Amino acid sequence: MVDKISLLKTVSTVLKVVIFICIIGAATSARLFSVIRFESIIHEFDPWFNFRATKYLVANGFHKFLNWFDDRTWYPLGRVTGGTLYPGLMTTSGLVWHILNNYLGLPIDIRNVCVLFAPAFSGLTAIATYYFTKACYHNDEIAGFLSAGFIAIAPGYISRSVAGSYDNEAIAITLLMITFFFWIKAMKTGSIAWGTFAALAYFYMVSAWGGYVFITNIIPLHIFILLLMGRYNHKLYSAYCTWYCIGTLSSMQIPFVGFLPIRSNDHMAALGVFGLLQFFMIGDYIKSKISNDNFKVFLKTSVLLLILFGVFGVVGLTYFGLIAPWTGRFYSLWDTDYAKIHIPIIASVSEHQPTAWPSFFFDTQFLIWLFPCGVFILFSELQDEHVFIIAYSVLCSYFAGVMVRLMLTLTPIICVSAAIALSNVFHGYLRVRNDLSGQGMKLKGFANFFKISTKLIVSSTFLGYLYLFVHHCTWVTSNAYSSPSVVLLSGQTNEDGSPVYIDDFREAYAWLRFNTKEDAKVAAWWDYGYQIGGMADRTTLVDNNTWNNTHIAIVGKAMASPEKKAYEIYKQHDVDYVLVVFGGLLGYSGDDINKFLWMVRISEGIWPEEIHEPNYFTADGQYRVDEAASETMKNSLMYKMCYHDFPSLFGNSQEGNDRVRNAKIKSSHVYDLDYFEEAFTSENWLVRIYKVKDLDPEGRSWKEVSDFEKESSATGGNSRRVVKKPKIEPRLL
Amino acid sequence: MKLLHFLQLLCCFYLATLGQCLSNERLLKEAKKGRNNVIKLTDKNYKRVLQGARDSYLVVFLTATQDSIGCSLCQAMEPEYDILAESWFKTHPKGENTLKNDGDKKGLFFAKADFSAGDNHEVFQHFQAQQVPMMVVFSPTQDTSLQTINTFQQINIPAQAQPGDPRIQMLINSFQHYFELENYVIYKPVNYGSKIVTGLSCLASIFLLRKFKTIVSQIVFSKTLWGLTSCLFITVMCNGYMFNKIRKTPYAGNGGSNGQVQYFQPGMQTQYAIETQIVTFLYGTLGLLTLFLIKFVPKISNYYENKKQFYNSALSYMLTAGVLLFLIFFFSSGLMFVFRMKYPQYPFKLLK
Repeated sequence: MVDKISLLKTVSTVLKVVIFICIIGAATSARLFSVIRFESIIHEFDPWFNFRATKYLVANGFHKFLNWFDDRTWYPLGRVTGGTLYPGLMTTSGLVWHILNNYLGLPIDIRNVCVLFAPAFSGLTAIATYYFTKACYHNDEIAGFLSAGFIAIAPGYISRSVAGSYDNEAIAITLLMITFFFWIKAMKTGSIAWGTFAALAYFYMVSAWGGYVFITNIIPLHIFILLLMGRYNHKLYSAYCTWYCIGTLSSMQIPFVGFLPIRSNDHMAALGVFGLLQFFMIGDYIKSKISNDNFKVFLKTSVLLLILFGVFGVVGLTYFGLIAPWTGRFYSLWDTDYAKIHIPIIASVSEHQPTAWPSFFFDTQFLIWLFPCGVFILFSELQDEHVFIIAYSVLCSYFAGVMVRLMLTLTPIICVSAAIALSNVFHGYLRVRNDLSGQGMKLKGFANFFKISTKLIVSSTFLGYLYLFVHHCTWVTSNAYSSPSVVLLSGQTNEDGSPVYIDDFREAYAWLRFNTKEDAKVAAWWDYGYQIGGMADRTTLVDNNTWNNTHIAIVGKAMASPEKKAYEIYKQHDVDYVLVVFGGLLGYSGDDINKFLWMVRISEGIWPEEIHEPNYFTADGQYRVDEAASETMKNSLMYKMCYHDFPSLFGNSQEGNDRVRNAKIKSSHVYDLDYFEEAFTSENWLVRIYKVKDLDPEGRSWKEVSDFEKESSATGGNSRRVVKKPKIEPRLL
Repeated sequence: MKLLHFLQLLCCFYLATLGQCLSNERLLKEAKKGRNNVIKLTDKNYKRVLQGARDSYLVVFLTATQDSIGCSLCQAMEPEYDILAESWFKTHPKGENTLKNDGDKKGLFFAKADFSAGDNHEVFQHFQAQQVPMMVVFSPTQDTSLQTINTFQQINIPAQAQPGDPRIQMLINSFQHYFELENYVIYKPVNYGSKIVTGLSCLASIFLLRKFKTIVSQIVFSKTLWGLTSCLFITVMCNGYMFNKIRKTPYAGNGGSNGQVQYFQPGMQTQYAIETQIVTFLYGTLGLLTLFLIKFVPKISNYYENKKQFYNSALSYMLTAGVLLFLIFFFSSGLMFVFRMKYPQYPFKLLK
C-alpha cells in the first residue's frame, strides 16, 4: 500500500515536471517566429536603448554603468543615464551573459542573450503563475496548470515578450507574478520569511519596471478591503509590515526611484495602509483589555481624530511641497481628458490610447468571457486571498480599458480567473471515475450511461475550445506580434519563394554610421532616437526617453517651421543631419507626416505664439498634403523634406502619388529646399537624410544663393542641375 | 472718375453726420437690447451696427437653428455662443478689455443672425454665407466709410472639437490670442434649482437609509450583489467602455447608400458605442451559461438523486448540460462571427 502511494507520488512528480517542460517549451517556441522569419534582431524602439545600455554594462562593468553619463543623446544636454533608468533588465541579462561566458564556457554574443531574454523569462512567468494560482485557489492543480498554460501562450503577454522585444516588460511580468505569489503566501501564513521574499521580489520589480507602482497600490488595496470587511488578523499585520518596510527601504536604493516612495502620492496609499494597520493592531490590543462599551467610545473618538489628522496632513504636506503631486502618466489614468489637454507628449504615444473591444478578444480569445465567470466563482467563496484576485481584476480591467499598454498587466489575471472557472468545469465533468467504480455507482444502467456520456461531451467540448485557443494564439502571434518593425516584410516574394524584406531603416542607419563623422549630430523625431543611437551610433537631439518636453518641442518646432527658421534652430543646436521617415512611396502609415500633427501640437504647447495647429489644416479643417494643403503646411520643413523630388519619381514627371494618404503630389507645390541638401534616401524612400548646409562662405543666406543660381542658370549659365551624390566608401573603424 | 470719388465722399460724410458709426457705448447699448448681451442682426439694423469706426472687435455669428434646415452643428453651438458672450460680459460689463490701462481699450462685442427668410435675408446675402454656421470678425477701425461693412475676416469654427466646454475654450483661446484680451474665462450661470433638488434628495435618501437600515445593510453586505456588480463592471470595461467615453464614439453608424443602420465599424482600433453593448451581452451570457454549467447542473441532478429518482436525475443532468452547452457553442460562434466583421482576415469560425 505504501509502495503504491509513493509510486503514485513519483509518477505525479514526473508528470508535473514533464508538463512544466512542455509549457516552457510552448512558451519559448511560440515567441520565436520573428527570429525564424527575420533574424536574431532587436525589435522596435525602446529595446534598442536597453540593448545599447546592456552592451555598455557588459563592456564597462556595473559601477561605471550606474554612473554612466551619456553625451550622445539629448545633445547638448546629455543624459544621466545611469541614474534615470531601471537597471533590472540590463543587470539580469548581463549576469546571464557573464555566467554563460565565464562559468559555463559558452561564448554567446550579448545580442543573442538579449534577443532570447523575453522568451526565456516567459517560461518562468508560467511557473510563477502556476504557483500563484495554486496558492490563491485551494491548491488546485488543474487551475494552476491551466493558468500556466494560458499565460504561456496568451497573445496579450506575447505581444510584449516575443524574441527580440528586449524591453522592461519582458522581465517585469515574471517578477509581478513572483511578487504576487510570495505576497499571497505571506498573507496566508503570516510568516515573516514569505513577507521578506515578497519584499525582495518587489525590490527586483522596482529595479526593472516603472509599473511597479501597480504592486505598490494593489497590495495596500487588498489589505484595505480586507480591513473594511472586518477581516483584520495578526497574519495580515506581520505580512504587510514586513513587506512594506523591507520593500520600501530596498526600493529606495534604486537611483532612479530615490526618495519617491516617501514623497510621491502614488506611494501614499501604501504608507497610509501601513499606518492604518498600526491603529488596527493597537485597537485590537486595547479591545482585549477594556470593556466593550468603553471600547466603542474610544473607537469613535479615535476614528474622528484620525480622519481629521489624515486629511490635514496630506493637504498640508502637498501644500508645502514635501510630497510631490501625482505624476502625469498616472494622473491621466483617472481623468481621461487630462493627458489630451495638458501633456500632448503622453497622448501622442500609441500605447497610451484607450482600448477598443476587439483588442481584448484578440489578446485573450475565449478567456475573456471566462474571466468574469471565474471572478464570480471567487465571490461565492470569498476567502482572503480571493479578495486579492477580485481587487486586481476590477482595478486592472479599468486601467486596461484606458490604456492599451496596461493590457499587459491585465492578461495574467485573466488567465488566472479563466483557469479557475475552467478548472471548476473540469472538476465537475472530467471526473468519471466515481461513476464507473463500484462505490459511487448509485445510478443504474441507462441512467449511469447518460450521466457519463454527458460528462464526456461537456469536457470534450471545452477541450475543443482549448484546442481552438491554442490555434488562435499561434495565429495571432504569427500574424500580429512577430514583426521587428525595424525590418518589414513587403508581402511579395522573390523568384525562389523567399520573402522580400524592406530593410530601409538599417540601410539608412548604416549609411549614417559609415559615411558621417563620428561626432555628427542627427536631428530626427524622438521615435527614432534610440534606433539612431543603437544602430547608427550617432549623437541625437531627442530620443524615446521623453524626459525633456522642451527639447522635443524644439525639434518639433524646427520640423514645423519654414526652412529659414528651421535652419537657424538646427544651426543653434549644431545639427549636421536631419532624418525623416516617409512612407508615401511604400504605403507605410507610421511615417512622420502622419506624426507631424503631434510635432505641431507639442511645439505649440511651448511656443503658442509661433506655431498654431489650425494653420496646418486647410480652410475647412482637413489635414491634406496635396495641392489643397495650407501654405504653412507646404512651407514646413517636414513637408518639404518628405516630398522633395518625390513627384519626379513617377513616370509622369509632374505628379506623384502618396500611397498612405492617397494624395496627388504635384511638383508645382513642392517647394525647393535651399538650406538643406539631400544626403541619402533609402531604397524604398522610407528614410531620407538631409545634410544641413554649412554657412555660405560669402555670408549670404542660402535662399539668396539659390535665387542667385536660379537667375544665372536662367540667363544661360549652367542649365543642368548638378545633383551631388555622396560618395559611399567604407570607413575604416 | 472724380465725380464718383466725390459722390462717395459725400455719401460717407452724410452717413457719418447722421451718427451711424458706433462707438463702444453704442455697441454696448445695442448689446443690452439683445438677449445674453448678443446683438441681434436684422435686415434693418445690420448696416448701422456693422459699419463705421469703432474701438472694438465685433464677432458675428451666422447660424440656422431651425429644425427644418437640419444644421445640427448650428443647434449645438447655439448655447455655446451665448455662453461665450455671457462669459465675456461677466468679467467685462462694458465690453471693454479692462486690464489694459494705457488708454488702448479694445472691446469685444458679439452679434448673431439666426436665419429666417423674412427677417434677415439680406444679412446672409451680405456675408455671402455659403454655409452655416459661419463666424466672422470685424476689426477696430478709424475708417468711417461705408466700405468698413465689407472688411471682415472669417474665423475658423472648430467643428471637429468636442462640443460644450472644450469648444468654447478653444474659441476663447483663439479670441484671447488674436484680440489680445485678458481675463476671459468660461462663466456659467449657477442653476440654483438643481442644487436645491440635489440637497433635498440627499436629505430624503439619508432619511430612507435610516428607516430601512436592515434592508440596506442586507443589500450592502450581499455577496451576490457585489459579485454581480464587479463582474458587470469587469465585462463592461473589457468591452471598450472607456474607449467610447474617451473618444466620444457615435452610437451607431450609417450604412452608406441604402441608409441602413450599421452596427459594427470594421477595424480593430475603432468601434461604435453599440458594439460595447452587443459584445457585453455576448460575454455576459457566455459567462452566465458557464456559471450555470458549473453550479446549477449538478444541483438539479442532486435534487432528484436525494429523492431517489435516479432516472430523472440523469435525464435532467443530460438535458440541462446539453442545452447550456449548445447555447455556449451558439453564442461563442456568434462572438467569433462578430469579431470577423471587425477583422475579416480572422480565420477561425464555429458556425456559419
